[in-house]
Amino acid sequence: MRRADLRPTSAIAGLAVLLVVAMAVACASGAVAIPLTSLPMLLWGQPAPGDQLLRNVLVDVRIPRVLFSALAGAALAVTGAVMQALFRNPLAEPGLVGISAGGALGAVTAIVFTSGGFWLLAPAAFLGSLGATALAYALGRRAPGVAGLLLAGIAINTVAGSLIGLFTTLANDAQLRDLTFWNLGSLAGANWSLLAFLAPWTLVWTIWLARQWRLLNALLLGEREAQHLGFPLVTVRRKLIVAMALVVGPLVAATGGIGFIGLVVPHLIRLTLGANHRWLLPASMLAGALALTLADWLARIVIVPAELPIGLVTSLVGGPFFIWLLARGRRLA
Amino acid sequence: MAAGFTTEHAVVTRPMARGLVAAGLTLCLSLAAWAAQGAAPERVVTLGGSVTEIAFALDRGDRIVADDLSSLYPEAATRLPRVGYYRATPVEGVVAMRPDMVLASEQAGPPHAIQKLTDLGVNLQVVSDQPTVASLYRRIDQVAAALDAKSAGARLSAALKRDLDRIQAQPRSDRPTLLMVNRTGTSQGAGSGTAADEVLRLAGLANVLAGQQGYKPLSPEAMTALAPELIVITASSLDALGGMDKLLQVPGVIATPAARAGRIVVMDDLLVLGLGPRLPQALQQLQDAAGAPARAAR
Amino acid sequence: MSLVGRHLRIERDGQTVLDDVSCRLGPGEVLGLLGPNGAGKSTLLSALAGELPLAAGGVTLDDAPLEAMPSAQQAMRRAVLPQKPGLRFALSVTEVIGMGAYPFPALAPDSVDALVADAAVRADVAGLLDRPYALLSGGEQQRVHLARVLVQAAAQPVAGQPRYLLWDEPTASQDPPHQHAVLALARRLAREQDAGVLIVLHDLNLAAQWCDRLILLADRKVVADGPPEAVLTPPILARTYGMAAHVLPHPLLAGRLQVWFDAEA
Repeated sequence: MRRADLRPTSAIAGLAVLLVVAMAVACASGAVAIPLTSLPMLLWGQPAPGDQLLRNVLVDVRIPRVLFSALAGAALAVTGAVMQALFRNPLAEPGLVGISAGGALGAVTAIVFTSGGFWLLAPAAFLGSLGATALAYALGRRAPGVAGLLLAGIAINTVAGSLIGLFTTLANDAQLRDLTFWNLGSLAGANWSLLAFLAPWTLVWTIWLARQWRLLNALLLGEREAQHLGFPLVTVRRKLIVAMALVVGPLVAATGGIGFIGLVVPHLIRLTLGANHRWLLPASMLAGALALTLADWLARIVIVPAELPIGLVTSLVGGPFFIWLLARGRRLA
Repeated sequence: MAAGFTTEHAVVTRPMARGLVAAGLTLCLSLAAWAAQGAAPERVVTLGGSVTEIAFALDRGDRIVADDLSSLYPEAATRLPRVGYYRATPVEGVVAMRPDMVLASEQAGPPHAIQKLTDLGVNLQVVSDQPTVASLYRRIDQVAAALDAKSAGARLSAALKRDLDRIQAQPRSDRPTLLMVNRTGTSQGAGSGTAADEVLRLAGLANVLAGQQGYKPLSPEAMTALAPELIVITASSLDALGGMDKLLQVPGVIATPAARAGRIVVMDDLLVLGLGPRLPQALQQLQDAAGAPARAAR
Repeated sequence: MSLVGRHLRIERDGQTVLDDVSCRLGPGEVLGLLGPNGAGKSTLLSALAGELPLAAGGVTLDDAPLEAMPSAQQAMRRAVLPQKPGLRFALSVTEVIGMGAYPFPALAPDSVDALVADAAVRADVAGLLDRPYALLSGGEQQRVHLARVLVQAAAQPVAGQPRYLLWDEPTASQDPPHQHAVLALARRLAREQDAGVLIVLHDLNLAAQWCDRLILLADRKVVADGPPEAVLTPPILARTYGMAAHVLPHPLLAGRLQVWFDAEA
């Protein structure tokens, strides 16, 4: 291995180890007290009749949720990094092109204008996020560079927001109730059938994004220079945005939208490992998975038997930590 | 047959026989009592303010091990461990309380959490929770049946019916009334389809927002145009606004006939935003406020 | 086998920026692109780099039309050195230079390392390799990009296929030793690698000393195109720059010219 690659490679290996440990800790603790020593027996042995409930909690409630939080954290972090490279702006994150607002609009529309069964809700949210992104992309193409896309995204977000507000006022009490369910961003909806579909899908697109590291590095030099290095800008911009919408859209549909991870995690990695996307993207995936797993674990154990909303935890913990890092005076880009 | 019966080895006399029967009967009664005890749940989690309130009203509050954030009455309910908001029920949190029964309002959720609880084998029972009086009676019956307090439930229902009939027998004042809440920072008014609307109707008042569906933001102009003669506001909303003085400063309020006549009544949230066992109290309070002579606004 | 622009007309916002401009960059030569400010030098370079839509005319690379060629393929044959280095970013010098190999993803990491080391020496940034790019001076950053372009030019050479290099004012932020070093490098590339190097310059004397051929642009058109002695004549220079000019033989270099402008006249 080249000497220069040693530091980032060990950092990534370290993150992977931390992630496994964090996931194990998160699986082993929660509101229901499951002794650490009984884990192996519950998972692989024959639990006593009295322990059957513990096993079901572990296997049907807790483990899917931990896996889901790791998956969502990885996807959100890597798409955040890609957005920051695409827009060459440290404040960029997937919501900028309308993915989250579109998903919310889809969900609200389904709730207010149809009978709103769950099997309608998730596809509506997914279609909403894809539609909003496609619209932002189509509008943004008329202006050169990513500035057009940015402005189109802002416009789409604003329109979606007002439509959501309008539909909310039209909603009756029962529909408002369903809306609140959806809006409370939460990982609690995780179960094995959701993971069976979402995990391979998310991993495929996330890994594809991570492999675009050369393109994203070239974008750091500028759009002209990226083109000179052989990356056809219009095509790659479209492919990146499509991939991001396909990754984040279903996540938004399943979780109701969790902010902050896509914004903060890539920055933390950049501050420690530099901006080379070859390391930044895989490290962001692992760090994002780690961050959201820990955040959800905290959300589940801090005010037992109640749970904190996940968005609250990510901002309460991520915010001050980020400020501390900045105060130390390291470069941002 | 002789008074006692004999075997080769023992002689059982009449007194002994009576003793045996008595012992047997005692044993059976104890068994029955023990069985009856097993039927009544000991560790109950209630989800929904009205459900909790009814459980306490049926004198089963000591069985509740945890409730939710909307369980604000009675005061003992607020001192119990809270699992969170009943529309964001945490699965593990509920299971951690080791309940042998979960009494959930039909409005509790999210649906996947309720489903997961059932899948885990938790004894979850859903009770009616609509903004109607019929639902209230049904809820009392359901909670009473679940908590093995059928007779207490019947008594509560009967007392409720008696009080309601008495209040309904009084002539309707039909005073135009506005019920406002301030949950999110902007004032909202209660239209039809809400529990508040039903409470106003039962109190013989005319909801000025009857043409509106559900809770909608209240504009100052609309408030003045609607010209309510009585304004009802919840206690927590008044606190959020900062007191009666601040309420009177809300645009549109001071111009209403209600404000000018000093007919602004503050009521407990649960009392007026839901239909619970204290409904007759709420109705009486409202009727009194409607019938009170005009006072100069402070 | 050349990079040729034929009868190019470029318009921007309704204004004609280049009008019927033709130029030819052949292998093994250093071509200087000169002209007053606003003459269109950078625009011509951008057109040859395939970046701009053409109102008229066409560009061919080794007889293949440029607009039909995919970006990735262009990048393997032609490298562009930008005028202003990119913005700050947290990459090391090595990583920036290594980007020159991106059009050639099949290259083994060791080959890329060798190319980077060699290019760093030639661009005189070998001592800066482990430094963060963002902390370098403007001139140093420009030489880092020069090294990057050298990597792109030298990677995976194909026999019979010359590389074309388009350099936009590479001497702008450099001190005199480095200015000459850059141009000497251009000549060595042209001679040793048979590359065609087009350099946008302001300094006529640098151009006179190092270029094999010159194109003088003025007022959106080509004023002169040929060897230095044919382009750098007093009448042409006076007409182009609006100042009296004197052209003398270079005192030290045989066959080379020197240009003096008479500002006081």
